[in-house]
Amino acid sequence: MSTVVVNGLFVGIVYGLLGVGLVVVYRGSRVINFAYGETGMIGAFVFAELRGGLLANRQLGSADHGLLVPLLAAVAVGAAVGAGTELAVVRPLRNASRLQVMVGTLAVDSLLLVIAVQRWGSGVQFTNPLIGGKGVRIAGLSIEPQQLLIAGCAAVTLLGLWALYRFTSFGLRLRASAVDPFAAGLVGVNINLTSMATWALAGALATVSAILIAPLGAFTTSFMISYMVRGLAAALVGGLTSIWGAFAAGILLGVGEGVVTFKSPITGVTDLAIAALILILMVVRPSGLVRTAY
Amino acid sequence: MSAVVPEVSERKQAFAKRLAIAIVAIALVGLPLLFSQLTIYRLGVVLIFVVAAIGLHILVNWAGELSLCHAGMVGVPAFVVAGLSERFDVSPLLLVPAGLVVGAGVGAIVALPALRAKGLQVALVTFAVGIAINSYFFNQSWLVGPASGRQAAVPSLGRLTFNTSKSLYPVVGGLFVLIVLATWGLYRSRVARAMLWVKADPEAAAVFGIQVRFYRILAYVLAGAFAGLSGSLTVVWTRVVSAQSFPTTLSFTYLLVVVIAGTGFVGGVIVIGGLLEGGALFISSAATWINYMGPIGLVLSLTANKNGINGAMRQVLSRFEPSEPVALDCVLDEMSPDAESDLDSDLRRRRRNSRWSTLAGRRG
Amino acid sequence: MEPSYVVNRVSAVPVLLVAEAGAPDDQRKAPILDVSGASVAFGGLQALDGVSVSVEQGAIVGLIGPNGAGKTTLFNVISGLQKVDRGAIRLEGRDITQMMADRRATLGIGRSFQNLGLMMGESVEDNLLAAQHLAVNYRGWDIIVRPWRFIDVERELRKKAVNALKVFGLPASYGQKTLSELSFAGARFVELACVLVGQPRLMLLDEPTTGLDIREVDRLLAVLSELRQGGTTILLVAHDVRFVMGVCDYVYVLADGRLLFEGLPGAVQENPAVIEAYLGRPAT
Repeated sequence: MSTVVVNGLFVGIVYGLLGVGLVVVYRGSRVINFAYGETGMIGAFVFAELRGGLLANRQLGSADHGLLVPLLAAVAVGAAVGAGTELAVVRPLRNASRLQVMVGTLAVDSLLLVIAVQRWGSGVQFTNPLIGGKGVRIAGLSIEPQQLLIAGCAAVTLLGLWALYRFTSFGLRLRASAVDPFAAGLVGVNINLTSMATWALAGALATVSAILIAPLGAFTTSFMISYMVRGLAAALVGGLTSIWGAFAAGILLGVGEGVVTFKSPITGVTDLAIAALILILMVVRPSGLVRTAY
Repeated sequence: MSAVVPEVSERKQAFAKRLAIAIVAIALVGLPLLFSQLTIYRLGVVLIFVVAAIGLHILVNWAGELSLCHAGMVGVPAFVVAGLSERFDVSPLLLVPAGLVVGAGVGAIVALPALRAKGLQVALVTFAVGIAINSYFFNQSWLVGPASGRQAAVPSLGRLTFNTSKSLYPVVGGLFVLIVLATWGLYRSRVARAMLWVKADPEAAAVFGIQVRFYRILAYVLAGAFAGLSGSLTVVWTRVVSAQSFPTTLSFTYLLVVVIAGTGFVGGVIVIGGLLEGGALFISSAATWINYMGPIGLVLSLTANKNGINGAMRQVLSRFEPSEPVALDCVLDEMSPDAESDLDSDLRRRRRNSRWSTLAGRRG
Repeated sequence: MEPSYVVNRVSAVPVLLVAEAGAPDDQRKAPILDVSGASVAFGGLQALDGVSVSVEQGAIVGLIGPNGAGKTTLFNVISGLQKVDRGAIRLEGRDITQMMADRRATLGIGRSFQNLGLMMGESVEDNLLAAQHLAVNYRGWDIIVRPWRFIDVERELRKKAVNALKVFGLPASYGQKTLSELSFAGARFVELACVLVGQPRLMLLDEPTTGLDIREVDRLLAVLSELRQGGTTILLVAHDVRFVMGVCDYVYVLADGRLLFEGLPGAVQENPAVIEAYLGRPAT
């Protein structure tokens, strides 16, 4: 059982990261980016292809051309997709209703899936472990090197985001644009640039999250869809605005899911539980369980 | 007293319009009987697709909300109807009302957050519900049956049995016409007007007596009801439904049609839905093209043309209608304190000077 | 006094004229609207601070004040779009403080908005029909079950819409125009017609003269006078001092969320505190 909890914890950390990415986007543009998962998926597949090569039948190869270059390239692609989404959908619809922007991100989502299936097919792909080694034992629990990597990346990401928002002038501009874009524009904040930077940042974050998740389950072009719901649930608990709230909720979700699946391995029961959770939360506390004042 | 002449020509216009619509309706139901079984089958699938799209159209274009689980709202009633029909050997045609109720029920559940949450949050609930329906409910054999799916009984009404698409088509076609008529009634009633106002400005709507929460929830219930109708009719028409019949990508397809169609009556939905679904069915190479152009078209539709196809159609039609060039200034020009009490003489006077240039000249 | 009648322009029903202002005290009407001690705070900003306003039946009362004084907030409080932190609102003696906006509309409160709370993408007629939401007395299923009732009621609504347009001198054909095609003044008149068509007992008009030129303001003045004669009570916010002084029986002055002064129009115009609030410096 303890292994289940530990595994759930690390899966939960990734859910938390997904939620955080959605919060970053919401704080910037007041919308949920439905293409978030697929942006990460594209990045993860670019990473896998650059690392392992692409074979004739749309299968990924099992070579290992290194980690760093494919990672940087993948993150760049993810950021580019995010920025592209902002340019094509969010910016033209800046004064439109938020629901219209979300429909636009759904369109991008659909397009990304089609492109991915065209290039990599829809079957299960091989994944190269990101990191080798033996792992560690802490307090009698054994932790895989992959899981350590997840924890490490999450820590770096969260601290980086915190520092960005708190200490840099860029972070200040991000916060200003989120609170009142019109006023921010009046005092000289370049809203267009800030918006695009937010979305590029979110795209990069999605890619990192997806690369970390990929080895955990079946690696297909649609693998991010169900993770997206979990990230969304985490973000909603955080009121769509609290980074720490979303992260904490993600961890709880991961642990909870691990326990539930362990006890009753019926297909999709966690999806059902999450939908019920979100439904009840939106009826009882639509603004989330965690408040933040920016 | 207003002139009799304009009134009569107005009535003639209205009659002509109604006659044209009646002819189209009869053609829709009657003409296809001249085509092959396969063509009729495909046409039926298109009509049933459009019925579901109309439901989403009401939710998205009238009420301004969003649902991402529409395929699930079509599928769940479909499986209920198919299951009951298979189990108790009942004609699925008789179970159509049950499907409608089940669909409306799913809509009501999904709409619960609308009591307190805003449109964005309800949309997120529908997203999660859509995935839950697909990954949990569509894997439950008590609902969807074995891997081969559910096989409904042969559709029949009383002593009439419909074994072929050709024989069943008039029923489905006729139902389609009735559904469109009912939607027309809704559109011309305070229900649609209230929803449109809630979409445009919920605070102003409230101040004029509209119960905002009620109409938001009603929109979801109606979407579910139309989806339930579509699901039931799918069972009636195709007789076999399996877990793969209602994938989550279908939800996006419905949304695509509805958003491109734009606000207004269902003309746009019928055209776009017909083109999309019809294209996919009748033209085998269209699928890939639609997969790419669909999302791109959707984004363009959102960013470029705010009013969608319905708006474009309205613009074209308005060119055919005679218009009276009336501006507030020229009206007030005509009004003097005495004329205020005799509005008829004012109307008579304006009809006399009905050319804009004359009035502009007189203003000096 | 001989009873006299004016024809209600919307329903075409004769209405007994209310006794004119200036009648002896024993004929003074009880307040139709009574706001006492309304206070609303948005975070650190006190939008309204203990504001009390009383409007007599059949009167036209003005609410003036510099920008940010809290006039629209007060309107939101009266029409039910904003909850008060403290205070009470009474309509004809009945406490409506906790009542929701749509319920208050059923009691006869009508309201216009500074920025036109209409459906810009729909036609003038559809807006006027929608504004009669409460007047509809068929149920949803009547559309299918009793379509004749549905058609009759809709026809009635359309007639009333045309009458409401006529009150403002607009022809019936105006109804087919989309709101976004109209000039702001035209749209403003449509909005006022929408308020009118519901035949409310108390009308709240938020800056009805903004965007109107002199002739249009005169038109509006004429309509308001006639409405008052028919028994409608009007509370209006305006920046056009000439308009307010010309038509109002009583004026309240709001500044920084507090009631600065209240009284007859003449007294308000000469009050030094009022002048200072508007001009920002003492009156010379």
